[in-house]
Amino acid sequence: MTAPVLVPWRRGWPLVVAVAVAQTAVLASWRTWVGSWPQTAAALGQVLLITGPVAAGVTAWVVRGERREGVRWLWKASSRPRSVPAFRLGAECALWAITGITLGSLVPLVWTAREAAFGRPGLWVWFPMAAGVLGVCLLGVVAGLGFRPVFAAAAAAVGIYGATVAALFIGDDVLAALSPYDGRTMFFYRVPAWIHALQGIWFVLAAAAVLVRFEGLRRASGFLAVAAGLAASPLLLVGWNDRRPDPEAMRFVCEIGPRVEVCLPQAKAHMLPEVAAAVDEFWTVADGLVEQGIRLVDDEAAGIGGFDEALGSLPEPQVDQVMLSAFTDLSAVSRLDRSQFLGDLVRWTVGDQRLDPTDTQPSRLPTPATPAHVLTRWFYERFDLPLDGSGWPGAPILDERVVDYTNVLDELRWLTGLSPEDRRGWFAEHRSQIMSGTLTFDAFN
Amino acid sequence: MAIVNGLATGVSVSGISKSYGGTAALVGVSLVLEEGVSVLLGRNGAGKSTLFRILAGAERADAGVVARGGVILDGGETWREHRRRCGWLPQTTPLIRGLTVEEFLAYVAWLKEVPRSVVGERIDAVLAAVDLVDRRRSRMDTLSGGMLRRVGVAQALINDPGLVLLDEPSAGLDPVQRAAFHRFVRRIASERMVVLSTHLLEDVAAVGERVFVIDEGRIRFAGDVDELAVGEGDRTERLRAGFLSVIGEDGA
Ligand SMILES: Nc1ncnc2c1ncn2[C@@H]1O[C@H](COP(=O)(O)OP(=O)(O)OP(=O)(O)O)[C@@H](O)[C@H]1O
Ligand SMILES: [Mg+2]
Repeated sequence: MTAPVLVPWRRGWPLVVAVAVAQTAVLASWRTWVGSWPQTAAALGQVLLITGPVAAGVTAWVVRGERREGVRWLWKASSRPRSVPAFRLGAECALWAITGITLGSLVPLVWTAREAAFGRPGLWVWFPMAAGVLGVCLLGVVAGLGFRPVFAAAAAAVGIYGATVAALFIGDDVLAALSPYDGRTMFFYRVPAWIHALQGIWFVLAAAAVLVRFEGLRRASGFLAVAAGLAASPLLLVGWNDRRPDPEAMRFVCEIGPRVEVCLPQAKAHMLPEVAAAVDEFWTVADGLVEQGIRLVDDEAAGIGGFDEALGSLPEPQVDQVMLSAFTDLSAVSRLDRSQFLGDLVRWTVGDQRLDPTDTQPSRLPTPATPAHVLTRWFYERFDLPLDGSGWPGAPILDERVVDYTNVLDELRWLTGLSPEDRRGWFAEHRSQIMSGTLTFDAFN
Repeated sequence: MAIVNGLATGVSVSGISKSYGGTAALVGVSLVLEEGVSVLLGRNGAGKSTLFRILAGAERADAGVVARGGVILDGGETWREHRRRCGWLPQTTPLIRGLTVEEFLAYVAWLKEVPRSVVGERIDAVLAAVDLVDRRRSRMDTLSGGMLRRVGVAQALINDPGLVLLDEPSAGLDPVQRAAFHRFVRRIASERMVVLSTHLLEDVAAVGERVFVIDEGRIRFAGDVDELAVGEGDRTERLRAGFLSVIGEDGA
């Protein structure tokens, strides 16, 4: 293939811009990939949900911009084998769309390259991405030639998006097997290159079958469809298990802080400074309340082959070892949400779990504040966390709308007025009541 | 591969029929094309464009055969070879918005498998032939109707074809361009078969060597232009009289 003749840069640039902008915007709104190579690769695969329809829609728009009949007659009078002209058109559009996804991948790749502490760029995912874009561009050509010009672009975009969402709905495991679209977390996995290769190949063959059928070549279409099925079947056989656990990714990296030791798997090592800082911030404020010297261990990989070995290779803890899943969930994020993390630590230490009255008795609000409310509010103020539930997804609502603090203002003031030494003593004295949620107001004096 | 007796050169059409739904567009059309200009003359809906589409290999006939150089075009390969050496200006000029004239011609050259090394000189040659050298870098959608028509003629010549099919090439040309076009057709026809359709007897008088009158899908007259002319007046007038009488509209 030579330089694009039918869709030169003058006509192709909207495709580059639309795809690159869509991809960058969507990726920037996700917090799941920064700093982790496997997660970055997975996010690139998932963003096809958006870039696929965009590429197909803009392709259909470019194609319908031609006077359809006239160009079709030129194709029919061509000495090239039938459907080759349609392919070339699709391929030229795909060239620009692939340029778009490549540009749109640069920001995440550069960003992760700067932050990643482990692993290598998973560039194999580029292949099924590019192939997926080629496939949807071929379908976009069919839409651009087959639908009324006004509908062509919308039909292509909505059709591709709808089909992907329908596939997600019917069987996200099948979709994950067949396409680079995979919603599962990838921190501890590697996807073998052959899987990515087949994911690209079967889809291009299937899209080609549609295009060739549209051009009236039944036999070739059937042949391509069978070939697509053959390429797809190993993927379906491997199915949900197309990822390979990566023991290296599970090996722990620890940071021993002044009060607490934090251990994260290598795959998330880039988060260690943030996590250690938040942990230290909490333990400084909660001095006396929770044990010093314990070790916090991220156990997202629990249940994956290789995790137990990784855990076993850690030295004996000085005091005790606590799994992060005891109070929070850092899975599937590659960036720490400090507010959520601190909020989870507060909820863990202030044992009363029935804090948010909107959960249990929404009819009688506000409810009188309990000792747990006083402690929680005090912690939140220390950490600058909002009480109105806006701090993070699923944050409890603890402001005046639902909790009546008027009778506990003295207790709050008293707690705030304690010196760090007095507070440490008070926390130590009431530790078991606080942590079990049985503290009474008698303790505040 | 079948060889048609006694027809080693030229294009012959025999027994071509084509219908769309219930409409018979062509009924058993047979004719022989040779070097020089042949004119297809017929009123609206006579079947001229249908015959061009079939001759260009863009559409299949329901029945009948086309042969070129003594070879019946029957398989995909023979038709492909025919298309490679055939140029066609459809009745509606193909237009690709956003492409320049030069880019469009390069695209048609690709469609016709013109070797890449000669595409540049072919574009120069066809643009010079239709007098559009200065519009080479203009976008197609900025051309006037007549210029666009000339680009259409240029693309029909890009592969230097032995058979050139021009479906109403003079539609939309101004008198100056039409005169130039007549000269141009006579020039290119000196070494190839040119078939053009028209409603204008002026075109027939100016360039026609042979003429085929087609009506309701049937060939009503085939012969030299002068054989069609009847009655009094100048040549165009006499051709008109002959044409009307052939199609049975001579005031009866
Ligand atoms: N795609 C089609 N579908 C249905 N009928 C068609 C189609 N193409 C042509 N016809 C019919 O075939 C007949 C011949 O049409 P054709 O276009 O060949 O005529 P023509 O001689 O080129 O006319 P004009 O001078 O108006 O261009 C007409 O009756 C027309 O309605
Ligand atoms: Mg016509």
